[in-house]
Amino acid sequence: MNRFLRRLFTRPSTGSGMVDCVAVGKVLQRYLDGATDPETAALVSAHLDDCRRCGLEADTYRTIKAALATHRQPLPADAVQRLRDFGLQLAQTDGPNRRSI
Amino acid sequence: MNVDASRRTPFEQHVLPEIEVLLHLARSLTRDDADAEDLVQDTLIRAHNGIDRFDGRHPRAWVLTILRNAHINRHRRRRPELLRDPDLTFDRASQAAGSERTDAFVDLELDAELVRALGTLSESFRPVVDVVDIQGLSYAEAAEVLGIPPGTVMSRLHRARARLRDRLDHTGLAPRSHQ
Repeated sequence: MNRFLRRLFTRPSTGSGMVDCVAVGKVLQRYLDGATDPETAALVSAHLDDCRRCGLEADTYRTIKAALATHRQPLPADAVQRLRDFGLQLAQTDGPNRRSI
Repeated sequence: MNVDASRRTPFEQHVLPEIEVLLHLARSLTRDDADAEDLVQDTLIRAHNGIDRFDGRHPRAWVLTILRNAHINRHRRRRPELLRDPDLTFDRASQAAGSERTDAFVDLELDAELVRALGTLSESFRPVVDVVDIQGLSYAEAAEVLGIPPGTVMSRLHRARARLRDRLDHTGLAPRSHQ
């Protein structure tokens, strides 16, 4: 946890008796992306369990992320196979400057 | 003498396993299946030509950079609106409903609103949402393919999601407590 976040997380809490909502808001999206360190993640997780407002905020972002993930379209199998064949053909060539096979 | 042995092995080892990721991203960047396939072919050729200069570390980041440069060099001509076809939206939501995901609900109305909200994001925000939240790249990988620092990826992504959240809040579609 960096110094800025440490200060946010350790300043006197105003409501829940835990870390405050401003500190959680700063790192919430990184937390949901799994990009925070374990110490920060544990603090945020505990706060989300305790704070209704931040918990709803987290639920909203989780919903958005889950909905966006459904837009990842399956790849056309024939295109993948053509590219694999192309790559394997490339691998058989012996010159770094070949531009076509 | 097999002069190609030292090159072929790293190419096959480091580049070929990334073909599916490359094609996902190429489709995201080009919005056209044929253009995407051409772009990945171009990327494979460039990677093959440059494999001697690759140090073997972080192969995905390396090929993503090549893909980005290849895309830039191909003079991106257009970027159609993302997912505007309501039938496609319905199909995707239906697929999601049949999947085994249990971490969140997928609501057709919410999904449709999300698609509309995506369409309102600026060109600096939407690609970040696309490669991270739709294509599933990490912050670092997104930075490579978009050619921007990881910190910029994070800030743009977080601001973009905040705008999407605001839109859902505004339309009453964001999760609410049951009281």
